[in-house]
Amino acid sequence: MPDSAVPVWSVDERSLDLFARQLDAPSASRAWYELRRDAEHVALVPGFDRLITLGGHAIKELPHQIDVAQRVLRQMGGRAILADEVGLGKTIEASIIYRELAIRGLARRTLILTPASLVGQWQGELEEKFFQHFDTPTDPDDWQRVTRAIVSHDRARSRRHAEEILRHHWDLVIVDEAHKIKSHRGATYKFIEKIERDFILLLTATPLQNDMRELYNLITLLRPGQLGTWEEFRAAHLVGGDPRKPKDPEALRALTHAVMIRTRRASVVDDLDLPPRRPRHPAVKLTKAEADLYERTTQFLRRLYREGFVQHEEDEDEAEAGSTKRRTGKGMVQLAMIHLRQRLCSSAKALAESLANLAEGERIKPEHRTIARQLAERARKVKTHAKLTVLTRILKETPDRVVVFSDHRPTIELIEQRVKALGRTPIVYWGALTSLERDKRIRAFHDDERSVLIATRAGSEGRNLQICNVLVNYDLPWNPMVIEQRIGRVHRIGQKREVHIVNLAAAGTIESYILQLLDKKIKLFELVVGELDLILGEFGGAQKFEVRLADEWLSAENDADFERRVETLGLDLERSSAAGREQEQLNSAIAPDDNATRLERRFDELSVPARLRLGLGTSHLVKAAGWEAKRQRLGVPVTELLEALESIEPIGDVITTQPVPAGSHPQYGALVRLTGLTSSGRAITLVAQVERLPLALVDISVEAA
Amino acid sequence: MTAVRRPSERRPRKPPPAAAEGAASRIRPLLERYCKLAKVKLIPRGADLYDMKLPPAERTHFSGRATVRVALSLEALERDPDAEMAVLGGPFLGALLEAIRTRAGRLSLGTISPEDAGGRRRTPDTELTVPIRNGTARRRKSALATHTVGRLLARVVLRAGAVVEESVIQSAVIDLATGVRADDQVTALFAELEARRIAPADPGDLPDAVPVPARPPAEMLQLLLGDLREQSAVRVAARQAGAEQGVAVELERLDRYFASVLSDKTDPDDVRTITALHERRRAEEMRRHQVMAIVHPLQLAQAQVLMQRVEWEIRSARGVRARFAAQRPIAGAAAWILACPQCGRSLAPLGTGSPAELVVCVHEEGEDQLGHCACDTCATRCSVCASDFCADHGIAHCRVDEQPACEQHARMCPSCRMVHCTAHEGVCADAEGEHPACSACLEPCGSCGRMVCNRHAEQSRADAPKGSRRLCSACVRHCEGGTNEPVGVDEVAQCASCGRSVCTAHQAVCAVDGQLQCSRHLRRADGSGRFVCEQHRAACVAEPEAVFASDEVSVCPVCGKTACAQHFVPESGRCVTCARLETAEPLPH
Repeated sequence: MPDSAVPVWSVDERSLDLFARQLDAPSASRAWYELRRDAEHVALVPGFDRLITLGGHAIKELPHQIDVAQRVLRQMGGRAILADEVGLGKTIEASIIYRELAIRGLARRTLILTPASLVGQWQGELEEKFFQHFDTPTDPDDWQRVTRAIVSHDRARSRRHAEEILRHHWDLVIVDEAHKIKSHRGATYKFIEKIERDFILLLTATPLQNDMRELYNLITLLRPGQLGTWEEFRAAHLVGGDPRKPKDPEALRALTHAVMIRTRRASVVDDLDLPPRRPRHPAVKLTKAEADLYERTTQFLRRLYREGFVQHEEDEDEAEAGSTKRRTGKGMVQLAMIHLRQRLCSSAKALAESLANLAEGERIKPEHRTIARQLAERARKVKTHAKLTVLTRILKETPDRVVVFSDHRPTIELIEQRVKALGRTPIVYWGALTSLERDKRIRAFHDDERSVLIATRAGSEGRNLQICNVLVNYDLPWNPMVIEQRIGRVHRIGQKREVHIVNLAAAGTIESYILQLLDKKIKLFELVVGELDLILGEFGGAQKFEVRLADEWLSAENDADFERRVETLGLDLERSSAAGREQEQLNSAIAPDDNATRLERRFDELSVPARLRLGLGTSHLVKAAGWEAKRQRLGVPVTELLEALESIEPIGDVITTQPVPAGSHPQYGALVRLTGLTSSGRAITLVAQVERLPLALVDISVEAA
Repeated sequence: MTAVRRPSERRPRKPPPAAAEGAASRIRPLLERYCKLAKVKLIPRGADLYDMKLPPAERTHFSGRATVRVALSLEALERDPDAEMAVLGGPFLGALLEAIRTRAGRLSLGTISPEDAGGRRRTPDTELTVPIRNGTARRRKSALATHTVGRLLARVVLRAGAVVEESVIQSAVIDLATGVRADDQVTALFAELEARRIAPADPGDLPDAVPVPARPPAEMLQLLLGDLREQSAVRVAARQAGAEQGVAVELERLDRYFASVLSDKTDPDDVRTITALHERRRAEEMRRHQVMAIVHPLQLAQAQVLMQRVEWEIRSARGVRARFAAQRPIAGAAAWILACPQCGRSLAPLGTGSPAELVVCVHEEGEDQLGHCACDTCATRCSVCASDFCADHGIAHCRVDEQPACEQHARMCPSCRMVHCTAHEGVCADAEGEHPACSACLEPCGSCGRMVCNRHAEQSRADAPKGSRRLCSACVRHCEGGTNEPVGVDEVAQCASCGRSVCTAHQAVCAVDGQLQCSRHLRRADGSGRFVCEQHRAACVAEPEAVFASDEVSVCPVCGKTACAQHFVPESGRCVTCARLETAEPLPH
């Protein structure tokens, strides 16, 4: 018998200490004694048959997420690849699993590894939705005290951090964007392999990108030997010559079933229940002064790009001999340049500020400095702002709350003044605010139906604004992910109304090209959350898009040349999008069936409760009008529904009660009635159509058992 | 993506999600009762939203705050995001539980009334005798006594793999003075008293009785926990069976996989890496499947019971004296209880040919040099002196021969930190001073032959000049020419440059003076490839970066610099530069 099976009895030191002290104290009163006894019962944590933390999260119960969490905890022993298609909430699933493990004392030390760009997002989501604080260690010494940490892949594997991380045992390790560690020769893969852990979750929508070896590596990292050695796997599952095609997808699915879960969007799309996005691109025609300023600034920026805007130090010393001005570094000048580029289409006021800043830089060539000064002066003289006029019209047409996004403070000031002038309350929200002040302002936005929230990028991160359904992109960031994040604040679960996305892009400006690419090529405004990653994956990501767009724009000889370049860029985006879709299909082909597919394939073999259990939350199950409202009214959470169905037919067991006929429904046909018990002692009765797909839930009632 | 902070004004009034409601329905009464008992003001601030005004004494449980706003549903939290959500696993509920847990660890129920027990005062049984091994017993006195009986409430957390099972269980009612389980009648009366179905006895109505103290808390707890362990045995066994099965499957998969991976590896580094990974994953699986039962003692309910008590003085053959008592409750047909004072195990009823006997432990204490007894199940005989001793006053297994030894003949080895008997003790001849150690830890040094313990010995590496040997601290050296590996004193010499020890594998001699040097101070001359030490290294004026031995260069008498054979002109006895200058025509004035 292995040592592991010998039970170890121990007494919890803290409880013992407290108990020993209380033995010496005078006898308690009965009331306290009984309160304590009841409290101990309330504090009891059940097994994974029941997920007990769901009530304490600020998330909506999505059946597929609950199902994933239950399967990982009950059947997979807390080790799984969560490979849901993008936008289905892998982060939420992983967080539910973490909370369920943590509350049972099984995840005292938890490490989340994620790409650097997602560290903040993870931290925010855990804090905001799960009320859990995770540290983001930056100093290797931090690991001495940290027990819950989020760290980027790169930082984690750096020598000093890696040493500290590997020194500890981790109860749970979550690796986000796990496809990034697909190579078994890569440093991150080797590092994760060395981490001592009890539970591990690998999150990726594309465990297979280019080669079956990637899938093999991920599964082997998770559970060595699940697929045998690479040679065995290759011989058994690969078609010669095509590293992406499995010989027998069915056989491979049987193997991945034990370690991988993938839910397809098509299976659950109905349940996400998101209203449509309605993009609007009102015509914005720059005023003559604005158009002139845009033209001149564009030429100036292209000239800077061609000629190089930083002069060598010696030249500068010569040119500015005797100057006592503070020396600005090259980095500062470049930053000013990026700012300038971004502000070009935001507002003349914002542009004026950036041009003036650029002119202040010491290492800019004198002739460029002169131009920057002249342009700044010209920008300051612009008094009529075309975008502001359009915004005014929109605000007048929209009496409800509006969120206006702009990344530039001078522009925000302009908008703020205009909103005030319209007699509405402007609520400015930017990164410089303290978290207390941010909460206060968001609350003010909630409280005032006619208020206008004017937010920078800080407003697009972490705050949920479903209360509002009109969003105005006053300026368009060049990074599509930033736009996606802005939209995601408003267009998310809980939003009941159509979401109007108003993009203010002036005709003939770079923004109009960006908008064209976003709308026509990326189809950003039709995507569901997360799809952007899929589309831009092959292209190199949203950041790459921004960089390439900037390069093309600055290096273009003229507008016609730029147009040609944009066309090429568009083709690349289309190719990337097609590749992403293909990858998604490929991954679905090798991944185990999700509930909807299982239900479809095995419909005839399944019992009635099993059909309903699998169907719940998928597009194969419809709910009669008023059913969902009744469930809410009766206070039956999805977990209890699942429990009740399971009580009729415990998984892998025999059916204990048979459904009884319950008449017929004019729309759905013959109905059955079945009753199951929940762990809280309630009897839930469902009336349903279960003879064919889609299944239909027609009625629900609850009784105390 | 899935957050649901919905706009409250657009939402129809409806009850909160049932999961939260379920939790709230359990937490709300708890909160209300706590507030009432702790004199905390609970002020409603809307549906499911409360302000708790805490008196100073309670603030310590809530981070020193005077007011805490609590939300009992997500809707309430949505209305006031600054409130704290009362949810299982959340900080607020944690604080509330802590506040409650600092109280009510013990409840005294009073005395079980002899009338309720149908009790009558009975005369001692004249036939009562104690079974004793190797000694004599003399009855001293009989009297009426009060014993404390109690029941422990504990939370038992059972973990195995990814499975956790928590339960609150209560022990049987145990006589805390004798350590034996109370009989059915006392247990039933205790339960009645606890449930307030009967009242405790009026102290004025009770006859005079000698209170017998309960055992010390640590012993008492051991008894109660032992009982809980027995109660959980079935559940634990079920988990254990599952864990055994689970770990066997996982280990088989791992072993098969790593064996296949290793089968075609020949590079020692690869083999080492894969083996380490295999070990790591195996250890993880073993740990994951480890069945762990963690007991959290919570509350003890106690009551007093009137007992008849008879006491004996027992004397062992070696003359050690001890006292022993038997008792029976003042209750209908309750039998006499003769229990081992150590383990609480009941000795079989008298006159039934009891298999258990009492022995007197060799340990004596106090001014009157009184010993104590134990049953023959929990007592052991010393393998050295043949005295009987209880579990507290000796060791059950000497680490060398697994035999028991009493406290006088038991020792702890400073090397392995394990216990052994004096029959298996030797002396470590370490250079820093001799000390005793168990014979299992002692072996002769591979160099000098003296016996040393493992703590003071070091194993030299397999690639040391004389192979791997166990060496005493006086005979071990660390070769500083290599990786500081341990080697024998008889395998090293001192480097002439730095004086450090270097083994024969990492030493060489300087080609110029023949002195022994460590590898750190030797370099090969670039031209000849000979080893030269720092002192005998030289450079050529024409090739300043190249290394030469001092006997491979010559000094140019003109410029005073050294030059190698290639850059020295023997005919002129000068370096090439000076030789070229010599042949050049003089500059015109």
